[in-house]
Amino acid sequence: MLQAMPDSYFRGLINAIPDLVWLKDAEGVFLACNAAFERFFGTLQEHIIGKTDYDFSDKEQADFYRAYDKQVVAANAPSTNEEWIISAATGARIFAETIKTPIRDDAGRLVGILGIARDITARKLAEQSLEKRLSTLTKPLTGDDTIVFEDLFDLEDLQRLQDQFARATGVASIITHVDGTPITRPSNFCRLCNDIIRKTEKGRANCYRSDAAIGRLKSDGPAIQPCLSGGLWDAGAGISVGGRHIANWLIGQVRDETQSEDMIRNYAREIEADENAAADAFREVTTMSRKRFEHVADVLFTLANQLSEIAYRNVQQARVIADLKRTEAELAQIRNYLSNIINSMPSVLVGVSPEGLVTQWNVEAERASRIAAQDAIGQPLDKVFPRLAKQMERVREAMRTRTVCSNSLQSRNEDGEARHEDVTIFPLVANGIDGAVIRIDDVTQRVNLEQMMVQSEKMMSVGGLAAGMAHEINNPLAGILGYAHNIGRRIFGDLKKNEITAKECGVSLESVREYLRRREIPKMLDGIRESGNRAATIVSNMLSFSRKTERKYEYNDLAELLDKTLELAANDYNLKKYYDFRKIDIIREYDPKMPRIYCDGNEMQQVFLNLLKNGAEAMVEKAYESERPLFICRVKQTSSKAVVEITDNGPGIDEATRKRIFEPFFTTKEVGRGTGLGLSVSYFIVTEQHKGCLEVDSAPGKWTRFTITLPLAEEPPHDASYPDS
Amino acid sequence: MTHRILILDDDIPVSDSLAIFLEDEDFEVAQASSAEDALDYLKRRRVDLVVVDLRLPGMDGQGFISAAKDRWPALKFIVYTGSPEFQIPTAMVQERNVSNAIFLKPLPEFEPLVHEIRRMLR
Repeated sequence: MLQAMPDSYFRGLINAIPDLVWLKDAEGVFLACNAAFERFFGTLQEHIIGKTDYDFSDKEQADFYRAYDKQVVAANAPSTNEEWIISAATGARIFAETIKTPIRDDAGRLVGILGIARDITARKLAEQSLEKRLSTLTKPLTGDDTIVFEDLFDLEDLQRLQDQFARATGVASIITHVDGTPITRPSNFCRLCNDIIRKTEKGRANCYRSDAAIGRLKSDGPAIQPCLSGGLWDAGAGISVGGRHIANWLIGQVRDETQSEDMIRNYAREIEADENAAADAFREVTTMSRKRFEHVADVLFTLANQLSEIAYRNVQQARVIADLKRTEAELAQIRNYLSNIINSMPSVLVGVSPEGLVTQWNVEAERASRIAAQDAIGQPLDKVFPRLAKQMERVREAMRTRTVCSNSLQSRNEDGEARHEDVTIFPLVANGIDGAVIRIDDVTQRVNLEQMMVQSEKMMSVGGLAAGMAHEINNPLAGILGYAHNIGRRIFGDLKKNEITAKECGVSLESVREYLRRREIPKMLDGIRESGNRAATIVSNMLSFSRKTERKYEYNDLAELLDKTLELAANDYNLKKYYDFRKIDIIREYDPKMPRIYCDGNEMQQVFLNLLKNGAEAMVEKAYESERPLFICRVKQTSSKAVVEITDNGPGIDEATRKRIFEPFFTTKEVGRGTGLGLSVSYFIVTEQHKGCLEVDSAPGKWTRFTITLPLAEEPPHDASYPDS
Repeated sequence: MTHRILILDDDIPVSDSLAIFLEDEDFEVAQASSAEDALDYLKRRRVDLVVVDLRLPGMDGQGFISAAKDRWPALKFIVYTGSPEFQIPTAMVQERNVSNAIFLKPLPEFEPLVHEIRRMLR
């Protein structure tokens, strides 16, 4: 056997194994098997080798084995399964745990499949019956009606008890239902009762009637009386659960002088049994003194009461278990419900132990950290959520003081975008549970909104201030600029009076002019004018923050406005001083189906100009290597919005600048260059005057993009009380 | 014929610098620092055009224009103000004697104002 094994020692070993062991080749042909396998299939190895499962099992079964073998080969790893194995030859069937292992030679070629099957039938059956008893015992007991004796006891145990009791005391014994029908198998029954009386229909009915009567519930002791069938001595005791009669335990089939052969003969005739056979059997019946039988009956009574007690306890236990199960189910449901709630929260919820280990990790936490709950739980918080490391001190503080620690705003950068989070720490103060729950809310939107509101508040206050002081500043500026203008004209202007006055003073106008030129007076005058003009521009810009109603709203073609502005920018003298707008490439991407937008054309142009100027100035700062300065101007529409994008490929802006870029007087330009109002004026025009949106995005070092979004409304969005006049 | 211009402004440097410029442009120029003074002057002397500031002590520029335009129907007015929010009232827009152009202080150059003055006086 197992001739593939060269060593007889190993052969012996394999054959000694009680498990079935076999080897098949890749095609499913048996190569070898052990002795247990031979025994099970009822044939010798020599008749097995060369055959397949199809020779020993029906087709369906063989198909199953074959498929499973192929699966093991495909997986190239041992595989365990539980299955029924049936021998066609012997009819034996076992429930087996099989392990199939692909076997390869040194070169890695598949030799075959080694199979080992262990008979676990007994274990399986025990498991099944245990399961059944458990399930019946733990069935919710709604009323006593449902109590069935068989559900309360292991019948095999009882049978054993009954058998041993009968053997030890020399009486017959059986446990029956209340109506006398048997539950257990009879033990130690005499031939008269078992083979003669109970074999007749009348006799059997009388026996059941008698067992029902003698097994009645009595509290004062066993019932002892002649059997209502054959008349031998019987005794019985009822088994009850909580006062309810559920079974009878009967003993007896003994005789003393009370019974006579005549009596049995009469009875045999009555139930139509063989009279002589009955008399013969009667003589074999155990004789027992009345006294002794009473002793045995007393033991029976005690045992029956004990069983009743056990039955009662079993029921109680079943109820407790049922309750427990129900509570457990409820608990599971509540746990489920709670975790659903926790997981449906839009906040990150993380529970931590006093040691800082994660105890709870909701779905949002998984999403935010990209770590699954099962990987996070039990880990130190700072390891799985590094940005909360700073919070550990607060967590400990919250646990120590048992107070909620809220509203710590954390800001961080995620993929170049600022995110703001609110971190709240709730200490857990319930009995026995220490630790804390950390809630993290993404409040980026709210913070951004707040920043925008602050922004426009700032602008409004600047506007209010400007309106009040514009007059006061404009007057002196008018004086300064007016005088400077006059000075220039009275020296360099082509005025007759200049000549006349010079002559009267005895100097030549030319030499006066020459002197002043050498002393750089004209440059100074220009300086005065320039400074005055700048101050005037600042005041005028600040005034644009005040709410004015006299805007010229009409339907404008945004692309046309943008083109006009680009032209304007290219020719603006002031712009040319700092950079040549014509050196900038411009790509235009205009949606040809763009509808006209209701807006103030002049103001929109001002916005475009500010953005273009800002971009052009920024691009001067960048050293271009392979590319050239470039504007991409887009005009497009979404479902309800008109969008204008102005993108430059300048140096970009960092996060700190981006945050403040629309603030009044915020500038990154050197002192004296920008007023710091251009972008905030633009912001004000777009958001306040046009109910639109102005946003900026940037990739530092690469590009900056301003996006203007305006309502694409059918109806004028603004009270058109000042139409184009 | 030399035209006479009256500058009505309570801010002396503003009034003065404009006066100097207009004199250099060969206008005859008079100055008044309140509407009341200006009306008084108009009673005494012929004036062709008044450059009017709006915010004034006592009667304001708008009140002055209303009062003066009925008494001197030939008189022309140009508004020169530091109040950027000012709009010419609709009733006055119709008046041919009131310039529809408003000049806001500070003017970087006076030439546009002079140009408007000459246009009005044609």
